[in-house]
Amino acid sequence: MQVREYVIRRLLKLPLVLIAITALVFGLSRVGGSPIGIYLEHEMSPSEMAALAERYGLDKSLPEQYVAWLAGVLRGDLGWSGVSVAPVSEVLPARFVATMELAIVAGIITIVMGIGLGTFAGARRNRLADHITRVFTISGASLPLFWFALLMVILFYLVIPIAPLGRFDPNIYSQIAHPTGFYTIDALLAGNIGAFFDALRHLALPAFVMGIEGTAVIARMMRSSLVEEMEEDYVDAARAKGLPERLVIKRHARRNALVPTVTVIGLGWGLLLQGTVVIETVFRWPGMGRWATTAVLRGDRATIMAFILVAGVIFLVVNLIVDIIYAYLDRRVVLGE
Amino acid sequence: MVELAPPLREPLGGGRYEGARTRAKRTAGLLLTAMRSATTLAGFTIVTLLIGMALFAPLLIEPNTPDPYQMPRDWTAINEPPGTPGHILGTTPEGGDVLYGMVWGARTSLRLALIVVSVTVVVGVAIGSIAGFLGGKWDEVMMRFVDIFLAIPEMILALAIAAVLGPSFRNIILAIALLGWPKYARIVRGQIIHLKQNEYVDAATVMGDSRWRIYRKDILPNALTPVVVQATLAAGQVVLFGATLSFIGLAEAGLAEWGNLVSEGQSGIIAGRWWVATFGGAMVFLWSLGFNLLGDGLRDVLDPRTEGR
Repeated sequence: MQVREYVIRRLLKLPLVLIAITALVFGLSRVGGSPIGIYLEHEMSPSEMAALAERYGLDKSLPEQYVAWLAGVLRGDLGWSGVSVAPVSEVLPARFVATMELAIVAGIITIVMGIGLGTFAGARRNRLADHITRVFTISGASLPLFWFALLMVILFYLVIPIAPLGRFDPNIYSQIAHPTGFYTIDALLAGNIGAFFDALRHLALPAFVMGIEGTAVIARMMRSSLVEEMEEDYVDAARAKGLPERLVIKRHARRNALVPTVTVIGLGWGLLLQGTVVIETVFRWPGMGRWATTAVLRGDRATIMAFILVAGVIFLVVNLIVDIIYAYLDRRVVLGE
Repeated sequence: MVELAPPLREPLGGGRYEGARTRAKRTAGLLLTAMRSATTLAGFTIVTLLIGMALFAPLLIEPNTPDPYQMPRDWTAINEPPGTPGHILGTTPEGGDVLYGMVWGARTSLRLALIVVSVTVVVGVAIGSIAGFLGGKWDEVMMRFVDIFLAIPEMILALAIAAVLGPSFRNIILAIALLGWPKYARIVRGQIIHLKQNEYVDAATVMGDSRWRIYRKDILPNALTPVVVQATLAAGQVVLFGATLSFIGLAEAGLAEWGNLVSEGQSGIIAGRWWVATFGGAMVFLWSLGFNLLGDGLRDVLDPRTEGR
């Protein structure tokens, strides 16, 4: 019952935080002065400028402007993207889906590899495998993502040319319809195995690189929590029962060690999202991250604001989900609130 | 008559700075213990070498005029590979000397790390101390404030700041500093709350010490240990993040900074020009690795709770 209350309380806070994010984004867009600047022409008289301001509602008070802006956003009007020379709302969905596909695949890789590696190291505590894993996790945390990505490009694109850049092969991509926008799903829906493998081939390297940092973080956490679990009494009991070591770990210790690891998965996801900016730049992936970066460098405010809004909301929602899952796994979190 | 001992003229302790001296001796002992681990020693060596390179940069390589933090451009030698006379490690597409970028890049990184870490530690410790010491309403309000900052993803804030204030290395420093202080506030607050319960605090209160004195002599020195660990790790993380932001292009063109080097070298990779990006990135990795190893080693020694690792 307490857990349900906690969940409901968290959910109720959500609209407040969403409003805070929108207010922040709106505030930022007005910090550099009124956007009337882009519409002004040189020989405009003051009355013409005033008329222009009135037309776009820029003569109203800031709160009124905020409400008008928010209403527009909820209707789907996110402004004009200078970078893409199109309305933001037209360009955003495709970019968003491209980033999500990459992030989700990377996320799966991260979780699977991280938990696997952490369990592997934790079970072999202080033996060679553990030390090697420790070196890996520390290196993973120190490794500049952009550098690692470029090295991978050098290795798998120049030296051994097997990895392609970008998201798809145009010839194959154009063969199928794209109802969802997710290349992998659309290929399966169309029954086109060639397209499916094309999608995977392009996803493989960027998703792996993106997942490295998260893998190191999760592996580290998993290893230390597994090591702690192995000290518990029930592990000795299981061994005394005659269970082979592998099953002791798999069936008992690992399950409990997973609990603290879940919190880190939320953190790992945050790292992933931020990594998209770099990864998309290096691998020429047509996602939100690269779009936003170009927008920052060219001063395209509408695009940047849309990116911050979307990224902020995703971040919030994922953290909320992770916190709820964690609340179900560990009652103490609920009591601490 | 029984002979009484002569009255004590001096206080029992060793004088005014006795506490500080003992603490210093113990700290030195702990640090030496930390150095027994091979990885920690490696980290310490790397960090020392890099900081040395940063401090002695003007002696190692002639500073560029007018701005030493811009790589000197040799337009007669663009895209030269390593081994070219005059440019041992090669040049960038603009003729910038890679070796210059590497050495002076260390100086840029040191500047970044010093400014950000000192500012964030001071602000974070101050806020955390107030929250922890005063408790109650103040604590709640301040921790909410801290939570808000902790919830903002770094990359997004950095992009937002660059969008509003324009891309420059100064703004990168600003963005990183803005988000860096909350963790110290959290650590210090937790430590203070924990330490407040100790008996020696009660003893000091009974003796009549003012709250400030208790804070300064009893609580703060003990609360700072995890802060030191975190600051060391932060010195590495901050430079890593700064390099990432420079790489995406949020710093000035031609800046002698490792991330910027990688960015300039990126376009040449397809054509097989690997040196600019590789050397630039290697330095970032080295710096980050050094501080991570050192910080981890310090943590193992100074923070016994994590010993089970």
